[in-house]
Amino acid sequence: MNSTAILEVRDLVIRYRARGLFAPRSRPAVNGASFTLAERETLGIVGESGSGKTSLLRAILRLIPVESGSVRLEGQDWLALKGDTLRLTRQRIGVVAQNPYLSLSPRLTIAEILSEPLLAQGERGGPAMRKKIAALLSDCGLPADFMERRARELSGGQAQRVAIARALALEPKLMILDEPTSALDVSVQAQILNLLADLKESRGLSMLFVTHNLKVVAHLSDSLLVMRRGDIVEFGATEQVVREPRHDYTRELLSFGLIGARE
Amino acid sequence: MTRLVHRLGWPGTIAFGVVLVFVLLAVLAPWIAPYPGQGAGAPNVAAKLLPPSADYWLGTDHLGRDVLSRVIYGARVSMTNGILIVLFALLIGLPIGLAAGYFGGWIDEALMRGTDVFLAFPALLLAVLMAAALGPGFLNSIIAVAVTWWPWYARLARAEVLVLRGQPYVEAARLAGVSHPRIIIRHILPATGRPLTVQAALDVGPALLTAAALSFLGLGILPPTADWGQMVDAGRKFFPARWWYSAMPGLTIFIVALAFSILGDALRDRKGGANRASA
Repeated sequence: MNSTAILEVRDLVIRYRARGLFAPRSRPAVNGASFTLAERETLGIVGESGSGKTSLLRAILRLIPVESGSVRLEGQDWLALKGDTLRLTRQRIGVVAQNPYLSLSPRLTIAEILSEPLLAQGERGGPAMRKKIAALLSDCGLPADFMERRARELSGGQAQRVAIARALALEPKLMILDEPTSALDVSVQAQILNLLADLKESRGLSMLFVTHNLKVVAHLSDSLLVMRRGDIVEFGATEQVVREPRHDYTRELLSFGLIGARE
Repeated sequence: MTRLVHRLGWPGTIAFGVVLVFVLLAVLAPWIAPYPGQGAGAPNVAAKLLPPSADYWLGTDHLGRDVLSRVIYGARVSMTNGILIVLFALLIGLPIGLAAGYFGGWIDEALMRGTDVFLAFPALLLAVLMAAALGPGFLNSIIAVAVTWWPWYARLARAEVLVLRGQPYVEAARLAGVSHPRIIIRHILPATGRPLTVQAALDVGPALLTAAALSFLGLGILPPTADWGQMVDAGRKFFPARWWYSAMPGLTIFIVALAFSILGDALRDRKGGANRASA
């Protein structure tokens, strides 16, 4: 196990601004989250909706502002970056969203969608790029002739593979996945999870995997972070958390997972 | 043709046909008008104020010019007016609305409060004031009306962008490191195209009416160039005894404005557009 941290979050507080001048300060959406993600490791963030896991994720992606705390990406103060530096540093993180039909533009072909990050990085279009895109598609288990299609012509699983291919386009070391399987059929979910496990192995990725389904993430992640109402209620190695959960809430989540497994 | 009917429906297709006919009339005026010289302004005092007849289908005006020829020549000015006003307004309003909606925050506040200032004045009054300040003339009257028109496009574009900005695929592009101008051009602009083209088509009619109103007030294009609004005004002195002088150009304005409005409606409701799939 490598101990170098790729992502380090310290005392992160996120609070949505209350409307109105005299409105009481709202409860923080994330209340002092701290965790470390080591290189080549996968961290599962689990919690019900409203637990703050999506807020945490969006703050790490710099999509919403942070009230206090720090985030370091490969040792760099990530929250201090601005403008073009932020734009280019962002490319070191690959992101996969929940619903591929929403996260892939309905107007562009798959080739155009996959070329977007490459072009943004400054690469030139042309045969070399097409070759690269075809390689990305095949890495994600798709044939190269998908390039001219549009997202709506693909199945949910295929579309999500395209989204994963886009996230991988710039060869990031860190992947952030926001419920990447919850919009998919159960049988397809397993395929996507296997693909992610393979990619993690072959590309040496670190992953931040957010889900409400503990079962989905349990066999993919090295450590688990359980959130509830903005607080981190549990953080530890997956095995330990699953075997002897310290918090009732984790037990509850685990029981959902087991019911899911019997189905 | 059948595809067009399927897409736009019958009223839309007919409206499209009417618009097309008037565009052709405007372009081919010298070849179509029965008296091209009179259409361009040459007087013909021997035939003053004649009622519609086989020689002069829509009658003649106070200088003996064929009203039909004048209406056909007027299409050049009036159609260009309507279309250019909308284009100018889009040219100003669209970038402002896009920037306000996309960047939000103080940029949004500054741009939209500025826009509100223009909306605070009654549109026609502002146009008249602008036209009076700039002086009469073809380009001036277009600018005068466009100045009152662009805030609506700014608002519409901003509203569209606010919805699009939160779309996961726009967010995904941002996270992939795509620059703001590129996101706007590649993701935002194509998606705002549909509602804006509809609005633009709907607005050509009213824009043309406003331009006609300006020339009616003597603030538009100057005689002897034919313009529908100015013809209605000139014919007013002879109304109702010589009704055709005012009524014919007036009726034409009505038909064209109506056609653009029906066409706009049809574009809004059109079926099977490639943009339909946008969530």
